[in-house]
Amino acid sequence: MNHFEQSLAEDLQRTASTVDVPPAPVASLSAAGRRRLRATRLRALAAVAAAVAVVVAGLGAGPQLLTGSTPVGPAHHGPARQLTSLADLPHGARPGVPYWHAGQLHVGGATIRTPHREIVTGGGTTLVGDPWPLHNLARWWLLDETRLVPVVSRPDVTGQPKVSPDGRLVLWEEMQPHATTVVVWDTTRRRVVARQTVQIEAACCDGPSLMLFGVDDQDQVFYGDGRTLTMWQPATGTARTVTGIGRLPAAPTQITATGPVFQGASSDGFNSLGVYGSVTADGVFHRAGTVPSDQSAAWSPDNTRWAYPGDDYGDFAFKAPATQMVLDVATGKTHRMRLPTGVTGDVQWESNNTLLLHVLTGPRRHFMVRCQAESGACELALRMGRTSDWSFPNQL
Amino acid sequence: MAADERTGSFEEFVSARWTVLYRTAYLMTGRAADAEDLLQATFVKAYAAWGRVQRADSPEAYVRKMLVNGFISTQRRRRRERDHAAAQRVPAPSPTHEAGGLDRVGMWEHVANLPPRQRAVVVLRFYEDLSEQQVAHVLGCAPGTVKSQTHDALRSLRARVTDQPDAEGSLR
Repeated sequence: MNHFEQSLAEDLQRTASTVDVPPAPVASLSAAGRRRLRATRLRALAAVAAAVAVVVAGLGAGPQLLTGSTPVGPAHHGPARQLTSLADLPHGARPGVPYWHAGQLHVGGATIRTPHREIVTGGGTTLVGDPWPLHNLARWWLLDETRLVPVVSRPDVTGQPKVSPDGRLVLWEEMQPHATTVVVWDTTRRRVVARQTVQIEAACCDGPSLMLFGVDDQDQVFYGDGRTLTMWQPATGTARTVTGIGRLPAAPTQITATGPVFQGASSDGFNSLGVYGSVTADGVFHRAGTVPSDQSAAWSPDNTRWAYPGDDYGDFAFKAPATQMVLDVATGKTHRMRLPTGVTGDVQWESNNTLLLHVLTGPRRHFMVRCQAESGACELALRMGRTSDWSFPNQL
Repeated sequence: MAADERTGSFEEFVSARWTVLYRTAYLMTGRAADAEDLLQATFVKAYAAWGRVQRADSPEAYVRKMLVNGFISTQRRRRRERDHAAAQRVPAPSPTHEAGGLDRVGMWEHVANLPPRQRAVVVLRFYEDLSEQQVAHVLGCAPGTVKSQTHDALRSLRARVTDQPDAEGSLR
């Protein structure tokens, strides 16, 4: 926390501590809560009665009406057995993804002593770097078994590098005063293989307005300025404006192996449906489908499952207490992970069938939980104390 | 859950957490009356969902989440009402500028004028001392959204407080 932020925190504390707190109207809150609960139950009963009436009417009307009322849509799984605490979970193996703790990078069974604790992974490729640029120098290394191979060390590199879904390419941005260069580094040849300079005026003192979104498994790189989305093919040097996205925002929220995910219709500034699809070589976006949310979620490595926070019935949960859900995109079935209500976390996939959740439950209490996508069975992979002592891949 | 049991544990919780949550509500709403309304509405909802609140790993975090989301919803509704009022050519006061509003103390004057989501993020990050991930969980959004909201809020605050952008202020 810098001086400004420290002052802000102190000012908020001072303001809060000087405010006159009225007494808690405990009894009237209970009474109002009981009235609300009774009204909710009455509404539920009325809805059940109405549904029964519809079914009775449908039976009376004969098979024609019943055909028309056949349910469509995904078959949701109902609530699974409720756990009350993460402590109830059995202990399992340590995470299969790289992580950093107390000066050591853990990779599989091996450990490497390093102060560089920021981790970016993709397709089996791991990069480590510094969480904050030291002496205004951004530095990143490629993990080669137990060695760290330098990738880039420059003052003008901004943000985290991106790793392609197959792990072959690493991308980063180099910022100049009136332009930004997107750089592609090949992890096999271990050198820069392509550069693309985009003449975009820096918006202000806070950095360039160019955004590097990522690369798909066709080696198509996506970047843009928020108004237009560009697809660049480093192999041919072709850059095209992506068309066919209609009224979707031109800034995708994710680039998966098959292509971009956009934020769909939104009733709220934070979350909305995710619209996913692919971009063909002519730069046209082809919509493939939607997933329940565009953020706080992740595709499995084989792009068949979508892990997201949802409610007991598989709907995306923004204000309700969320739990971790997995949508099988091919069948439309949702699977609830067997976790206590309200427990979700940052998701990353350990394999096509297992996901890891980094769950914070309070100060100095956080866990890495492994869940089986199909069965929902979960186990503890790590039990941790201070958040600042740990780093996991692709943390923002 | 038996009604007596529900009421007993609920009232115990309200008594224990009222002050802490009121302060958070006050920092977000900027007005004592609004803070009280928001907190009461939140607790009434919490009573109706008390079984789920108790099953949560941290009931206080759960109720705080309800509080923050209630605040954002209320602000959104008020904005629509203000827009409607403006369309009807009826002057509508800004909730953060009404008479009898905030005790203006230092930087807080500027925090109170941030957009509601940025205000919520600032209060959770710098008053509640939550991490970006924890704030994201409270708000039900991606950590990246929290990061950008924090960044925007701090940039605005710096500009307002110092009247000049801070070249050092990179949160990235």
